Amino acid sequence: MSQTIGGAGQDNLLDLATAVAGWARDGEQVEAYVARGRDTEITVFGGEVESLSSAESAGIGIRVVAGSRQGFAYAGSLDPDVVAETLEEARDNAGFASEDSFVGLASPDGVEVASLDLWRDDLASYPTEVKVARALDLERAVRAADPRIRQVESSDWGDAAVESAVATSTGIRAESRRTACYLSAFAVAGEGAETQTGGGYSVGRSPSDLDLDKAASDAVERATRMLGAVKPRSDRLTVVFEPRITATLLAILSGTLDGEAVLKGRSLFADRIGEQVSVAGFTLVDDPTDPEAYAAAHYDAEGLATRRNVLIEGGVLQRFLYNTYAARRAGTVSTASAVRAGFKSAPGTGARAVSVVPGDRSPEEIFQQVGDGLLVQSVSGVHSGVNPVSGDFSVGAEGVLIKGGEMAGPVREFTIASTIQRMLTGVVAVGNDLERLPSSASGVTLAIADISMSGE
Amino acid sequence: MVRMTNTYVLAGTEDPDEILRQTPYGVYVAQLGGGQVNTATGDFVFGMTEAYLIEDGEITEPLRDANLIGNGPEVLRNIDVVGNDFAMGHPGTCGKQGQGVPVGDGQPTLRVTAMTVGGTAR
Repeated sequence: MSQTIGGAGQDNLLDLATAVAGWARDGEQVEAYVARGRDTEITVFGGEVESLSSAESAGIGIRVVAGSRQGFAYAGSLDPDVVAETLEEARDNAGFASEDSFVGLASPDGVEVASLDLWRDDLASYPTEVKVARALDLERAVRAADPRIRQVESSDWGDAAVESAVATSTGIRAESRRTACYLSAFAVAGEGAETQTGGGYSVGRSPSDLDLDKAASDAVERATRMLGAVKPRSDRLTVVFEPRITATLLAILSGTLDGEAVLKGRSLFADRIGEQVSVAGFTLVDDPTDPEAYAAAHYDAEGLATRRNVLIEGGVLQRFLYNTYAARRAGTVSTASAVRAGFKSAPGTGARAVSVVPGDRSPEEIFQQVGDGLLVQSVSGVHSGVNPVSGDFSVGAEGVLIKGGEMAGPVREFTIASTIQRMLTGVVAVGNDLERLPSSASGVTLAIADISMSGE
Repeated sequence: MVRMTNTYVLAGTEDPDEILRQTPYGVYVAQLGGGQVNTATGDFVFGMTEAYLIEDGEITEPLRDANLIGNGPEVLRNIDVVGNDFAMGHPGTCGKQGQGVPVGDGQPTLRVTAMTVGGTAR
């Protein structure tokens, strides 16, 4: 057995995955997911490197479906003997699993693979000392931009280059690779005893995509414009979310449209397909075939070609996201939405590249339209403050009041609250300013009416 | 890395029932959920997983899906009564830059004179 793998060559991930899938016995399905990656994270502070980690990893995750039982095992090695052992372990684990008639691997479904170029050689070969230098440059740029910047809480460089392959005994053959990198800074501004913070970032596939000046000026602007912030009077008003906050909201929303959550009775949108859940101008898609999306991908984690899934179109709920297992349980087909946290996990379900289809208004035009309201630039406590089952939403926020269509005074130490359902129907403007983030969601400026602000 | 272990507030002298009786209007927090702190400014937000309204010195109705927001140093200055019922809470794990350590914390009943409660009703 190990000779077969050696012959396939460890450099070719798809050959290795295919060899493992070929070892399926009669009445058994085998899937091999093989990944090799390198990621770097650097934090600098006060002109020096505070932490630097650069890790290379390679491993395999194997699923065996025997009858109606599924077993999974993984190993952080591509050594032929280890791979053979991992398959045996997955087989063994299947014997312990409960019977579930819905388990099964993906099969080719005829969807064509998008033509995407997600790999940049110049990132793969970018020297670590240059990455450190760029994080230091960013810190300097933030400090130099405004005398009120007291320090830079952190200035970070991060990147990843990942190659992966999936093969199954059911005919799946998928191989892809991608690079991604980002720069981010968190500025601390002060006047007298007061301190305010603000963040900025830039993302790309290649180091040459990164806009250091924008990352610096975004952080400086957000920290300095909060100086003098007061606690606002409680009110109900229209809230304008900055693109990065909209992305956070969309990530939560896409979680409620996860087919697994729907099956478990944990989605507030179960049984609402075909219903008007938002306004006509609101269309939500998960499109991993968009090459500009940070987490764009050729294939999902089960090796199906990714596709553009429209979740909400013109305000009408269209579909949920499914991997193969959840789709079989729901009596439908996979939307190629299987995701994994690397080779160590079996596939779950999730969005990769969720986004609102941009509208036609600039942020300034939206301020004019709103007249009096609130611009939110940061939220906190999202994980405890949003209940994805009931839809209740209550988070801490910071931002700037909007008066007569212009930015007025900064405000802090208050909460904004509503429900996900009411927020969707309360959308009054969708911006044209699509912004990419190092996340599974992109954002636009989004205005939502009738949100409770609790302050003084 | 610098980390905390067991962090607690020492007991005071007040009977907790008496603290409640002397609170005309407020929120009684029995259990906090997850939260987030901006360590540069001290601003925090915490979800309340079990909380009740206090009216005329008595616990009345439960509050659902609300959270507390404030500033750490300010809240410390706004503590006006400290109870005599010190107890340690459930131990947990505190994560920092990928490192998780077991931690414990404890306190007696504490009253804070002003804090912002977020939610949709009232």
